[in-house]
Amino acid sequence: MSRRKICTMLVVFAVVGLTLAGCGRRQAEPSATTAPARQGTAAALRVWIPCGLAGYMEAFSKALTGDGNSVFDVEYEIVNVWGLVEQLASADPKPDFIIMPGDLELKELDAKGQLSEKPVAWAYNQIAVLTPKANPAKLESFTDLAKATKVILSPPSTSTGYYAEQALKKAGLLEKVKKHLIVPETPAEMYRQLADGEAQAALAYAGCAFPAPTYEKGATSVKASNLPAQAPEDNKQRSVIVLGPVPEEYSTPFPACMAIPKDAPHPEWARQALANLLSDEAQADIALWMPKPARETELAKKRVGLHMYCGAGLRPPIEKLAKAFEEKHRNVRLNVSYAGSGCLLAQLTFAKRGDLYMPGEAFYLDQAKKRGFLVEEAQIAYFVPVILVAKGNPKGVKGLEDLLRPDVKVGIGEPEACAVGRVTKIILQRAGLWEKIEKRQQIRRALNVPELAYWVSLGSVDAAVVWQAQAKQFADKCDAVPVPSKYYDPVDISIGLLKFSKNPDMAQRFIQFVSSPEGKAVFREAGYALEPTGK
Amino acid sequence: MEQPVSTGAKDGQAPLPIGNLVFKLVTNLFLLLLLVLLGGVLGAMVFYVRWDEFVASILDPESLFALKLTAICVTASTALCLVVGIPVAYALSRQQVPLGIVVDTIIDLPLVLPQLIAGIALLMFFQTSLGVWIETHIMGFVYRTPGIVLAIFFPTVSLAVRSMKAAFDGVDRRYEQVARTLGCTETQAFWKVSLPLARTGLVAGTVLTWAYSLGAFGSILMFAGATRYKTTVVPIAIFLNMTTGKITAGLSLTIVLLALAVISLFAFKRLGGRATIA
Repeated sequence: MSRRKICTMLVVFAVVGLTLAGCGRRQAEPSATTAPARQGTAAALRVWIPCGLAGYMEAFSKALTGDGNSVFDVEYEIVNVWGLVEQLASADPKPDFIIMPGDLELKELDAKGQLSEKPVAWAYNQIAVLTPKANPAKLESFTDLAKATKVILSPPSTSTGYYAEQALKKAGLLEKVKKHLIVPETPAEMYRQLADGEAQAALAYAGCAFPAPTYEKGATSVKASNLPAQAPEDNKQRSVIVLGPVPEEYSTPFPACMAIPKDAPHPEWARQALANLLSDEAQADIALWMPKPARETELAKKRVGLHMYCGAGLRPPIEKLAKAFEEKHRNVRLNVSYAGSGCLLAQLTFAKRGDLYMPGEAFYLDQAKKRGFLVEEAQIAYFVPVILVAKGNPKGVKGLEDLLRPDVKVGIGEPEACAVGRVTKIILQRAGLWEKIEKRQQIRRALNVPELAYWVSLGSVDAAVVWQAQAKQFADKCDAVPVPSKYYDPVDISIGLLKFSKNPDMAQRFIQFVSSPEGKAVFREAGYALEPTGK
Repeated sequence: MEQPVSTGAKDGQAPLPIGNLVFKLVTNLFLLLLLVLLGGVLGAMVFYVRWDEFVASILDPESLFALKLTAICVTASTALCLVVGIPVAYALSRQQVPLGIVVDTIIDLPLVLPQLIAGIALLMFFQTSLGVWIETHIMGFVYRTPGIVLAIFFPTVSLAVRSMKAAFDGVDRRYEQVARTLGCTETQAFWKVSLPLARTGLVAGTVLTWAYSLGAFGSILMFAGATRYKTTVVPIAIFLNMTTGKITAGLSLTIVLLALAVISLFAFKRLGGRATIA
């Protein structure tokens, strides 16, 4: 009887929690979108923002207006950082507020007496390595820049240029890179050169990987209203990708500053905006998309423990991301529990606790959803099927047809038991090979992907279709042969927020972090695709 | 003797030497076969790992953490088994427990329960009002480090009781009765006579429990979860390494586990040999 009472209480709690969490979001959404929508009204704070931060305008609007609770709206003007001093001198009227991704530009303005007070850090930034989507020089890290033959750097007078040069110097790469340096005229030019593949890499901010506004020749700024609608997470149309930040041993984070210019038309709003940007909520939000917030927030003082159920195969990327997340949120302890996805589903069903669920197969997330355990979910990456063979490919397996060869022992996942099996069946059906393969005697069926990978690595089978992510984990013992993408449908991996969560806000932040360009870059590195491969 | 070619002993007749020989040969052949099989399988695994790789994998901070955590948790669980097991074993051995066979069976149940289910059962228990009360008033177990001790304890306590009951069964009740006639109370007889006499048997049981606990996996995976630097005891660390392709790291830990098991089983056998003296 008392057990039933507890159950009822749990349900009530969950419903209340759900409603509260749901309401919170519903309030937040309109304010983020209405701020830019009301642009152009008389009561607008005029903010100068460089293109490298333009992708975050919605987040800035929310932060600057204190989540829509201030009397003013925000209107942006995208400025070219490389010439800020001249632009401010000739601007009429002056802007109310300037947000920069670094500190040197504003320090220069301050030295020239053009600011009403000293610049203040709103976050800490880091130089990142950007490449064209195809990554033509096949760079894997910052030190790989020695291999690149066309590298873009900002002018050394800018924060980007200065800190990038310092990092190169520290890594002993400066002389090498200087030989084939490209210094474009504007940041927009840099983006174009990267997107068109004219350059192989750039050292810039992660935010510079978003499509920048097009500058007219000679123009120094562009009205925010002229920008195409863009969302920071929209990775699908991205032509420039972030390889990752420059390691801290070469470049420590530097302050990203904001300032109020002298003769700002609305100085009191500007001061309010400045305070808003430093508020706990804004700083906690900034921590999600900047390398570091300006200060430890109130949120950071409350110790939070999150429990995440994670498919064991996803361990490499998730382990990295959990660590990075804990570094950003020092108050958070993210306990990730790894096991088979089905095992995890049983656990969360019986334990009725935990915050996040990320199974290796969408099927299990759907099951959790059907049981009413999910509050929300986010799609993160896609599995890429490959044919795994022994190192050096001794049997010369070149494609799916080779799986029929009598001298090739084949392992396949059981279609009923695991996602890789289901996909293997589809691939072979589309290639018209399934029936012939099924008739083969020498075929071994596995219940999961690691099993297949072990068979190949230990030589008990010659080829097996597995995910590229496993192929990467077994890279020292195995090679991967690609499977043509026309043979399969995209297989997605998602993360879900559980209704049992006692800290849904923080759990949601982790989901946002994993979905961010930084998070997705980790998945790409681990062998997952960010865009749907397959037809 | 009249029929030297016969292969077996007929009723009433003395067994024939040649038949004895064949029988002995066959049994020993099977023994050899099993030894080769076990040795081959385990040896293949042991020799898969190179010595330098083994040392590097074991000195990895994660492996060291796993070994340390395992030592602590397994010892804590064994201590718990001892505290619970000795009185229970004594009671079962000495008294006519009402519905004795039912009680005995219930105590044996966790031994046959698949460990995964034991873990699930623990999760379910901590959803009941008693479980919730324990978690809020005493300490948290689910997905936490203390949970490991419980997850090991639950499936192994039966084994502890079983082996300790055997130790008490081995002590002749007459020694206790003599002690009672000499003026000991029942408690005194237990502390001064039964316990010391059963000591070696109890120690052997403890070692066996400890060794068996080393391999606990399913219940820990389910009840405490596989969280790095939190619940990664050796079997869990092996599992995590194996699912992400770190074969060498997984095998190295397995070898350590095997070595520990060999040492403790050896100790158990030695102690067990003496345990029957009383």
